[in-house]
Amino acid sequence: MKIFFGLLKAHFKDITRDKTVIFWFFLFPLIIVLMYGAIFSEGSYGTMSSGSFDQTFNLSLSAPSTSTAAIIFENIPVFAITRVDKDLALQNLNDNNTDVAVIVEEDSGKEIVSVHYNSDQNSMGFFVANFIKQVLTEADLQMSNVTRRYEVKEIAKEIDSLRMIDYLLPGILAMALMQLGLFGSMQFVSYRERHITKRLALAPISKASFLSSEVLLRLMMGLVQGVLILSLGFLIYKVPINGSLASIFGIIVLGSMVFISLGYFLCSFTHTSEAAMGVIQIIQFPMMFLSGIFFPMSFLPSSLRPIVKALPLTYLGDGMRQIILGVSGEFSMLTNVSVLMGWFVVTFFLAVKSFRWE
Amino acid sequence: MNSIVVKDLRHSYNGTVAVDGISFNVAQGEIFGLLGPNGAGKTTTTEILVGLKKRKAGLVEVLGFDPSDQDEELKSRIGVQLQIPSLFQRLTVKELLNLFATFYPDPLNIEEVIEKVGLQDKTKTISMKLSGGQLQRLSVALALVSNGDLIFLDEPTTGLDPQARRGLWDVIENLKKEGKTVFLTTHYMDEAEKLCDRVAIIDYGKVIALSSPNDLIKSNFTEQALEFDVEADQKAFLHEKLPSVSKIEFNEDKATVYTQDVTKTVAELLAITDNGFRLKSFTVRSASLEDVFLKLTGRRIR
Repeated sequence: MKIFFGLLKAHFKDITRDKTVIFWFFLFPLIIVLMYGAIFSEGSYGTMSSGSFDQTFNLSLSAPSTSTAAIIFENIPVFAITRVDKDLALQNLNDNNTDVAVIVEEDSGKEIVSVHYNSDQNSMGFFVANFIKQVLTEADLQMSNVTRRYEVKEIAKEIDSLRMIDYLLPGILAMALMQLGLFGSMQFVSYRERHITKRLALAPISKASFLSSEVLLRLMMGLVQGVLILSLGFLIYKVPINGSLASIFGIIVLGSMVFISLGYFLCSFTHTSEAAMGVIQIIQFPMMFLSGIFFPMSFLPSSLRPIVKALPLTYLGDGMRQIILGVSGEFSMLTNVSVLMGWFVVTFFLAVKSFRWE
Repeated sequence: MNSIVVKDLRHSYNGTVAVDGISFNVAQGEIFGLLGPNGAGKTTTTEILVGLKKRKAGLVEVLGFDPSDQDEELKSRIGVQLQIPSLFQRLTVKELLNLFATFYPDPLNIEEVIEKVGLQDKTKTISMKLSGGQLQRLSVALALVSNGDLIFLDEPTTGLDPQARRGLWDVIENLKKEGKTVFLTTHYMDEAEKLCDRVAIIDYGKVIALSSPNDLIKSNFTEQALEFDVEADQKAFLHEKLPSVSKIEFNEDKATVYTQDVTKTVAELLAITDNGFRLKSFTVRSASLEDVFLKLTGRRIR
């Protein structure tokens, strides 16, 4: 135990005194948060917002002064009504100056209401026509005093809309953990390269205590990253942190373990830090952009989806978002955790198999 | 009682033979020197003895253990200094010594070790900021802090200035006084002559001599050595004019002549100075390990 803590302290000092490590692992993710925050704090991804319905519709209305339908329309707040004659109403529709043209004509005690609209994709006409039909049918029913057999209740769930920064913050944390795991393992390559592992192999210490102290330090750094990134997001951009501390802790540890194992595995193929850097870049760069940590998966062409679904970072980002924000995501939490566990088991096994002490 | 037993040890790298069947024993409490030029197999032998390399063939016992078993008890009883000082770059001298002290059951006081190797004013310097010589001394300090029964030093004084070298010689002699066994490799013959109780001279992976430095010199030379500068066209002429000399070696513009009778040889030399031969940088000395090496291999060590 004394040896383990001695090594942990040595790793800690050796790493934290390296200014490039401090920059890349702690400052860089924070800079990304600030940068994205400055750009995206107000924007939102369409698919993520539930936005309230506050549109008004323009009606060009032609109706006789005795029309009761016209009175009903005027009492509907979302209708902006312009009363004109029949020809002008149709003209307005032709010129796209109105959403619908409504012509009311009296015919033997009945009012015939014709709703004209341009039936193109963007037109709200169809919606408005149906709405008018419903309103007038309801009015008829009320006046004729029939016994109601059905009653429809509408329950709309109130959802806070997700801003882009809310979406991005958990993704940035996932990215930071990936980089910590992958690039962090290069430390070991450099220890190997500079024969430090060889020197330590001469001392009566177990290799396991050397490695486990390195891994534990990496996990602790991951947690510090989590605290820094989430605090910054919460304090400056009011990103809602809805998840429990335990579950956030859990996903950070799980994610770190996956990428630490993957990092050791990748590093076992290389002899020098430079080569390790190359291999890791090849893996991490596409992963960063394809994993959906910066934008929803639906933004990518469907031909890329199978790749996206193969990347562990996709599931870490998605799981991280669900846990931190308390929203639902692309996959179920069970899927996210199982896939990450799977990746961990496989990469851990491969890392142990291919591990080289010297 | 032997601290190290080596019998017919062999090692090769991709077919290139590095150690070609060497045998020697190191007695408990002695300073044993493994001598040889660069590439003779010294480092390979040391790395096999400390358990860094698995030997290809032969028998090796260190404090009764086979070092290839990676036994932690053996490791806790030996202190090792390697040629390449490999350390955490951003830890200070003191932090590194403290770290290594936690590895061993009964470490030395680190302040004492720092003083022994003369790094008192560098305790708070991180290792990447140390000079080559300072790193070398730190590396020795890490071997000492183990307080092991057997200390391996692989070319400990290479790259040190003369003062630091002498300081380290004192440290090594003190280890012997404390009853520790020292296994030392070096290509400095004066160092081996001064420190070692016994030396093994190896060349091309084979032991070519094994004894105490004095015995090696005595058994190879009854003569004394005279050295002086010589010009190229005078080399042949010397053989003819110095009948009292048993052997003449030339190394660039330096001549070394071996003689049983110094007075007679000096007289002969003085006689030829009348014929225009000038005696420059003239020294008389006893034969050294260096001469033994030269005689046995036909080469100078450096």
